[in-house]
Amino acid sequence: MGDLVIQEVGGFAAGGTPGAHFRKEGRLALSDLSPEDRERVLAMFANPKPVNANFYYRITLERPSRRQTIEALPEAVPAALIASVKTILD
Amino acid sequence: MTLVSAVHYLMKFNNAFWNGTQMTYGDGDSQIFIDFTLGNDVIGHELTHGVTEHSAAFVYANEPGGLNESISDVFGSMFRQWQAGQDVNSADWLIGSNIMGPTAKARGYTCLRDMANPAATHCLAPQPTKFSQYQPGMDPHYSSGIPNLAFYKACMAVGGHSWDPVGQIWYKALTGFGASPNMLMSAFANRTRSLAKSMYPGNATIENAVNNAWAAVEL
Repeated sequence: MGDLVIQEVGGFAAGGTPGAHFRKEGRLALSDLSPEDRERVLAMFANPKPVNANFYYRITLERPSRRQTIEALPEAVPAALIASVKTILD
Repeated sequence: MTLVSAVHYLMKFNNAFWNGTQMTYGDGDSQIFIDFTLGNDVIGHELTHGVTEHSAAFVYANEPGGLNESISDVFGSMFRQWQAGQDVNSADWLIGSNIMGPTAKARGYTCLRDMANPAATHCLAPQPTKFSQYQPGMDPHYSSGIPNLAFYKACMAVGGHSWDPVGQIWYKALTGFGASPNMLMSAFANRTRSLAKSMYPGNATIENAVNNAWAAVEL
């Protein structure tokens, strides 16, 4: 079914920038989401929209055949996916 | 207008942000970061995003994005200095120093960003220091190091308090001209140069401080 890789982008404590000593990311199997959340996420990938925001999530859907990345505002992302994000210090 | 802040956002949320209509603060994970409301520069930073949204309205991409983030660091730092009664020499010019958790501190990190030395390795997120390092598409939280350093240099050259006169110039540059969503860093620099002349006519110290500060970062 595929895996989701989620990265937190921006905000006051913006990690993952060049040379930054921390980043914030998580990984979740698409199958680990509830059917409703899975449908919501797949709908975002079917109809991606760019965001212009101080803080947002970058989500990549990894499948054997392809890889697709979208941007999403926090309110659009299922809580279970956001909860997978961990802050990783070098 | 009503100012709305949400606190205790999610669980162990290591961030704070402005979402277009309100501020939001996490409690931190108690390891890398602690409660984000403990940093008065954090609060000043997020509040300033609201001011920017309702004035210059810089978009969160490319050069205007870097200006947007810098303006928030600038006013967040000024608020911190003002509340502590610090002049430019006694201020530490660090962003996020009050919210560093024990794990981050144990590894020698004292801040998120350093306006006096954006490339400093004691910060969690080093930044560029000159415009020649800028590239389109750069994260605004990274490129903001360039205008951050310019503000610091202008303040140090003038002396006294950061919020007057240099802060007054920056505030007028942000709020005095209506929306400029796609403003380039060079245009903002030139706007502050013009304001230094018009707001403080005949004051060569201020005029030179602002001009030289931007020149030092190649703008």
